[in-house]
Amino acid sequence: MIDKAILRKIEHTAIIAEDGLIVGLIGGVVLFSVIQIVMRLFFNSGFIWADELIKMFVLWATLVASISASRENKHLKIDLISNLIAPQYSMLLQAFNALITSGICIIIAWHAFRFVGLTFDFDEKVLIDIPAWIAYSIIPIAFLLMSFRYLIACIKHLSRYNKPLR
Amino acid sequence: MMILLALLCLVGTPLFAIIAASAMIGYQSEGIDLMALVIEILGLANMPFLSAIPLFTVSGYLLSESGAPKRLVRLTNAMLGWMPCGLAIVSLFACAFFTAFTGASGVTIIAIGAILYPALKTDGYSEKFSLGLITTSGSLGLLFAPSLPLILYGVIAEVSIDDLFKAGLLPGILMLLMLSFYCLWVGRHSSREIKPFNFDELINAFRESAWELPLPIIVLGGIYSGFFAVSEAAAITALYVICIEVLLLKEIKIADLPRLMRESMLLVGGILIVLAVSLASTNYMIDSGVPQQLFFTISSVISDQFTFLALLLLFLLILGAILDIFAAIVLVVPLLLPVANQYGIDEIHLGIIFLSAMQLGYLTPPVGLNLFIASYRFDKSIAAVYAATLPFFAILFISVILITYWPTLTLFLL
Repeated sequence: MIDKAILRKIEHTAIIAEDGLIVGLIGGVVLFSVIQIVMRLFFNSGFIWADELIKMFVLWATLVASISASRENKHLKIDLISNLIAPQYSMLLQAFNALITSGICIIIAWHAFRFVGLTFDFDEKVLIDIPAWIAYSIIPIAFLLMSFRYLIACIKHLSRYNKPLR
Repeated sequence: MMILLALLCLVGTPLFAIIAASAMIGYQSEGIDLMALVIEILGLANMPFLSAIPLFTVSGYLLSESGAPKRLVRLTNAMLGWMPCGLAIVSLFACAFFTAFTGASGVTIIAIGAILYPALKTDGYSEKFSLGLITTSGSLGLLFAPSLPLILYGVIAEVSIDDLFKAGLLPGILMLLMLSFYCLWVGRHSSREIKPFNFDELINAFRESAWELPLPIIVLGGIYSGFFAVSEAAAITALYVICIEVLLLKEIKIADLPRLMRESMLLVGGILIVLAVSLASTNYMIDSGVPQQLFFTISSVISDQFTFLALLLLFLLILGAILDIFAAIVLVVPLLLPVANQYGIDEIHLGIIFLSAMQLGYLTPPVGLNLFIASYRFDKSIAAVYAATLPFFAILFISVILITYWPTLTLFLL
């Protein structure tokens, strides 16, 4: 059995990393946007890479926030049925939803991984001279982590489903 | 297969997963490599002005956690409180203004409603009226710049966001005025004392809000004059809000900043991930001619614009009742736009119809966001909140019909 304390520590570190990354990325978007405005207004110029960097930051922030949202199951969904049925069955339904989502995420992660591999082979560049695979690597990582989170959620829901029966 | 996905939708599987699955099934059937989905997700990084959405959301969250809502209520009260039924009208205007600046995520009810609801009851308004008023007001500023749904519609429909901002102005004012007249009508027999206009209070309220007052001027002035792009205005707003609320007024602790940023990004991440995967599914649907088929099917039944608009309204009401406004924009607009074009409906006008109809969705069960937030915040049953909002809903519904069939109102300022 893996030590629970270690697992909890990993979870805790992951949460701090996610939050820190979100703050850093949004802060970066603000910072570089303002720098671009100042450059445009006062020096009539700007950095060619800044706009692309801002857009890349928004993409990263979106994906990191998605990982974060999967932690609390905060993703947008239409939820008509779970309020109408008994809580016990609702648990089962949520476990099912989490399992499906986890499966879909792992498929996307796999194809994203293949895609990143391709950009690595072709030596593609973004932001003038940065290897593209670094910028794109967030996609397989994000979907892999989401898949993992939903798998955990599925197991949690199932374990809760069993409890009231005992 | 698609029926299976629709079923998953109804049982509450996250939308982004269902949409991604539908795109992958489509690709698979056409023999396209599934890597195409990943390339479409990357397309998110090529959308113009997209950074405006996270930045305005962060600013809105910070503002609602600070003392700004209180100051806004005081200022609006000093400006409009002298009117008959003053406080009800103050509620409408303060909420509309705040919603425009904070997106339409329900924070208005929590930030402003929580101040006004007890004040309205103390001022002698019935509980039912107060509850309905605050719940309705929670999404009232949707059509005013720089609200998030407007920006998102502009990004998706690829129309000028500046034009959308101008177009939303008069329809938004129409909604405000119609609700204000309803408040006056309800309060026509009340013996409530009319408070005299107090110039000193106005000056003091202005002074208290001095730091926040430049905000609408920077944002709206900057955008309307063409001085700033929307995304630039959003960046300035975010920086300015952080500077005044965190560093200057110190109403938000620096230690709380990461938590607030994360909370606001959860909403944004949820919207943008749906946008990212639906870039793939809508492109696939457009490539395989779904809009044309849709138009073909509809046009075999409906030939004139009038009936089409009626059908559109009905569809949007149902859509708004089951789907969040942001997801609805992302999923439905790309397919709806070409069809509406065939019926000669202007893209900007369609946007305003879409958003104003979706605004009603905030007040309709089963998933109306405002109903849930008000019920939670004010500890009332959903049914009670729903009953309280009905007259307001009826008025907004009439205004939506006016907006739909009177395009000049929307297009006049363009």
